[in-house]
Amino acid sequence: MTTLRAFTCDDLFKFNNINLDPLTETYGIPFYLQYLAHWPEYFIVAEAPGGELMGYIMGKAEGSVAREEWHGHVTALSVAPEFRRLGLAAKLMEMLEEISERKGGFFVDLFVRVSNQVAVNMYKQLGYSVYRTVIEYYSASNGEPDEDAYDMRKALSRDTERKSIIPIPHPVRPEDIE
Amino acid sequence: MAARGHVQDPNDRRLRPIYDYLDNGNNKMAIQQADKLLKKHKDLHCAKVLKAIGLQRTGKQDEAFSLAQEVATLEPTDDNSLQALTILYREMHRPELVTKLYEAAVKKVPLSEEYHSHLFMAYARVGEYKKMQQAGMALYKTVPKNPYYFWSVMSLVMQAISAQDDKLAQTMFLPLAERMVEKMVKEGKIEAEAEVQLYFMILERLGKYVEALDMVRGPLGEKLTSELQSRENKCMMMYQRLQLWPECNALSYKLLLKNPDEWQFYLSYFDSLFHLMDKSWSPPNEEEHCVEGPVQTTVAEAVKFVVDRMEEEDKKDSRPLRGPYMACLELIHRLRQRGCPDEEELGDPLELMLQFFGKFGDKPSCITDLKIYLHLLPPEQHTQFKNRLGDLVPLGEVGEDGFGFPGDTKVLQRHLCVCQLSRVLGLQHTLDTEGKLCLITELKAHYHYGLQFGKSCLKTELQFSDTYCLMVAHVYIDLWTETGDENMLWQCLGVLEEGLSYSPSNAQFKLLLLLLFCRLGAFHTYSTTP
Repeated sequence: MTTLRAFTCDDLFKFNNINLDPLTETYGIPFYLQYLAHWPEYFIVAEAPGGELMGYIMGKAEGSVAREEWHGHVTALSVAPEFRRLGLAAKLMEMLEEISERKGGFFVDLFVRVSNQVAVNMYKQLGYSVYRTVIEYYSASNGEPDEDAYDMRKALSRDTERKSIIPIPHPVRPEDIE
Repeated sequence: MAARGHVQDPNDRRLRPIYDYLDNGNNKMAIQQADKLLKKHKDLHCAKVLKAIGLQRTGKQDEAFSLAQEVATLEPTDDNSLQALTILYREMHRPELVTKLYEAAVKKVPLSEEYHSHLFMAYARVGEYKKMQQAGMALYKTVPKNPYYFWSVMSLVMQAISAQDDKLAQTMFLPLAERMVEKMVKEGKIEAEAEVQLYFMILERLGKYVEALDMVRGPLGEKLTSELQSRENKCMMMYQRLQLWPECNALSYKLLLKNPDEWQFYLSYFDSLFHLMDKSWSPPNEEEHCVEGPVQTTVAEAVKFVVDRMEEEDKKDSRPLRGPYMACLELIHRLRQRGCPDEEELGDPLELMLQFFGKFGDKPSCITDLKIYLHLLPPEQHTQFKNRLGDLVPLGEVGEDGFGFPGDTKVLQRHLCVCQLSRVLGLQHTLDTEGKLCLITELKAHYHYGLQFGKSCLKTELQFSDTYCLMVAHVYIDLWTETGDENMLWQCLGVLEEGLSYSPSNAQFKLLLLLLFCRLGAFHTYSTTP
């Protein structure tokens, strides 16, 4: 039982139960505000009947239409531990995909830590596949080595031949990503 | 995200190396290069500014500032100098100086779209809304592009929002903004979705809900495509403000049929239905009830609606949604508040909650959901409720220590939920010291037993049985508060530290430890990052 609504600035004061999860990045306020300003339709939060925040998704649309690279991108997706296993992440992803379809995107993509098996499996179940590996995408904060990311994609209806998801055989570096 | 202070590619070949040095953090070389360049071309303003940036970044603020001012007083109009000065002033946290810069530039080059834009942005950084409004219009007069016009409109709205005197907002700023938008509408010049959203915002702030509703339902509303259900959400908001309960009810009903898990629409459905009942409104016989469709106005209809939704969930093979069952409990709550006897048609809250637990008890959200409606149970039923819940948890055979344990994580979660519910009902608090200590022993046993399910957990995952550990800690705190026995507090700390050793990412353990250490006066820094 969820209320799905637009994320507001005030929600930044209430999302600790979601962001205290170790695999959820907490960005600086300007980062969140930029997304609220440019792509508010992609910034959706789920609220429980008691008023607690359950989870949220942040995304954007970018890329060249001419090169068939116009796509939706998942910047962040997180569900609080006490609200997991309710299919909420799947619901939020479904909404992001629907918005991306309406914008005429060719595919949806996202980055995920290669060690985050739980997330990788979840995305695979939702129809995503690994497109390429990005070396040292995630910089570690505390002396640990940087971690690689999988760039996972799902083709949308505009990509009729599903060309966008044909995997690249060799890994790339963060500088090489558009 | 681009790095802060990233300078754009210069047109001038000579300046490029200095830009590169600055980007790489090599301020010393940047200053040196700039000096070299200035020896040959002493009026190359941009080089002076880049040198100033280098100085500022090495901590020589005053020198940097006076050098920059040398250039600024000349009122430069070349792109490089202006951009470099903007970067410098922003790093010095002096955004107001950027406004002066571009004011001068715009005076000298009044037809520059770019300088007018920059001036608008400069005003935006310092929140000078009135100047933004003027800059926006000046920009529009130079280059008649829609965004510029609407920047001006938005600046008026900002003046309305920040006005000390609300009357000023209502009688001056907002009406002016409204007229500006209406002009564009009349001339058929509305282009972007954002313009329609701004128009809606203005009408809403003016309290012109009828106009706002008409606008959204009309052709302009068709532009509202980015956000899912944008038009429906805006209509719903206006129906509620205008207290158009038939429309509110019909729309909620429609949206719930499409999405039976959306809590906010159950609330609006119930709210509107009861408002209609209180007004003794009934739908007209032959015409359609309202523009949104059929309206429901009786308790019987509400009951049927909720029961039907639950039956739909019961029939499903796939994952059932919690919505309809929670809605049923909510309806009972509301009927009870109104003293309506029909609540009995929905069933006994105790049985309904047991059913809910049966369906959703293995999810961690069960406790947060049921907590809301526990008040529907009279205190005499509390123990009975806990016992009946226990019956639904198939624990294993009782072992030597007198406890039976769950066979898998789902049963574990159910058992945990029962423990949490009994705490919320206050059943743990009524136990005496001995009783609490026995409870602690039992919970600890369950905690340790449950660790086996989490052997393969990564250190970024929480253990399945963590919440038992947390509960033990809280019962120790209860004992410490009641008896003053410090030993209880030390036991508590020990238990939490043990929990952390198995589950290093558990933020709840860390927060509680921090709180307790502070109470003890041990302000020691926690080196583990949450």
